[in-house]
This record gives sequence, C-alpha cells and structure tokens, in this order.
Amino acid sequence: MTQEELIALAEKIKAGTATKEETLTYHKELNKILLEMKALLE
Amino acid sequence: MFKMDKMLGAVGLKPKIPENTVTATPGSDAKEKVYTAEEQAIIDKSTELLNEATPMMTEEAMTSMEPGKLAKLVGFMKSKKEFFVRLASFAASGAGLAAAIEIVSTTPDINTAAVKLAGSAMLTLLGFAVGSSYKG
Repeated sequence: MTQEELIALAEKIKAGTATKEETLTYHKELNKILLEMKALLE
Repeated sequence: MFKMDKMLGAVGLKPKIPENTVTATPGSDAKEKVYTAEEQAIIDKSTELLNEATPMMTEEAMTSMEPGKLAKLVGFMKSKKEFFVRLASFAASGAGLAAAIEIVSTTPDINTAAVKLAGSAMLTLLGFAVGSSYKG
C-alpha cells in the first residue's frame, strides 16, 4: 500500500466514514509500519 | 518524556479500552462496527505496538540512541515522511498541526525534524488506534 492510500484511509477514519474493512486494512498496514519501526529500535 | 494519559488526553481520548462492542469515533457518522475476536486483535495490536514505540520516539530517547540505530530510524522515517507528517496534522484540536508546524519551522535539519515529527505523529497514531475503534 502506498503512503497516499494509507493517508486516504486515515482521513476516512478521521472523518468517520471508513467501513469496517477499511478500518481493518488501515490497522493492518499501521501494524506493519510499527513492527518495522520496532525492529529498528530494538 | 511523553506520558500516555497526557498524549491520549491531547487528542481527546481516554486510555481505557472498553470490552465488547466497538463503535466509530465520536463525531463520526456513528456507524456501529462489531468486530470478531480476530479482527479486534488486529486493532489491539496497533495500540500495543504504539504503546511500545511511543516512549522510544521522544526527543530524549532519540538523543541517547546509538548513532547507527538513529540513522536507520531516520531513514525509515524519511521513507514514510509524507504519512507521518500528514498524520501529525490530524489532531482535531489543532494541537498536532501546531506541533508539526513548530517542529518544521524551528528545526532546520531535516533528519532531526523527521525524528521529532515521528514523535508527534505517534500521538496522533495512537489516537487513531484507539479512537477509530472505540468510543472513548
């Protein structure tokens, strides 16, 4: 997923218009980023 | 160092995570979303990872980080810069945006700014992780 797509999902969540699937997709992508970041910090 | 309750408070959220039903964040279209245990685990994982990462993303933590590790982290942050900068501006109160503007305007070195923005973005990300799924 591109940054633009991720931002678009975040904006929909912020606006309260995201579907359940979109919300879950956002969290899955966010988790990938955070896991990658966590690996760098360890 | 940031305190979790203060960070959550800054975006109008509470750290408490209710059980069972989850709904859209306040101010949304109020569509109710019910998640399976597996789906809920994905959302909870976001909060867990953010709780782990946030203390390490402060300016204080950054200044004591090994140079090699910091360089890798900065590289990563720069690769996601657009995402993090954008999220840093999402706080409904405007606090996140104000913080982002202050960071950019007072930090001429882009690497340092990227790291500082990461810390700011963590706050907003945490807000999304909780606020997008739970009614605070």
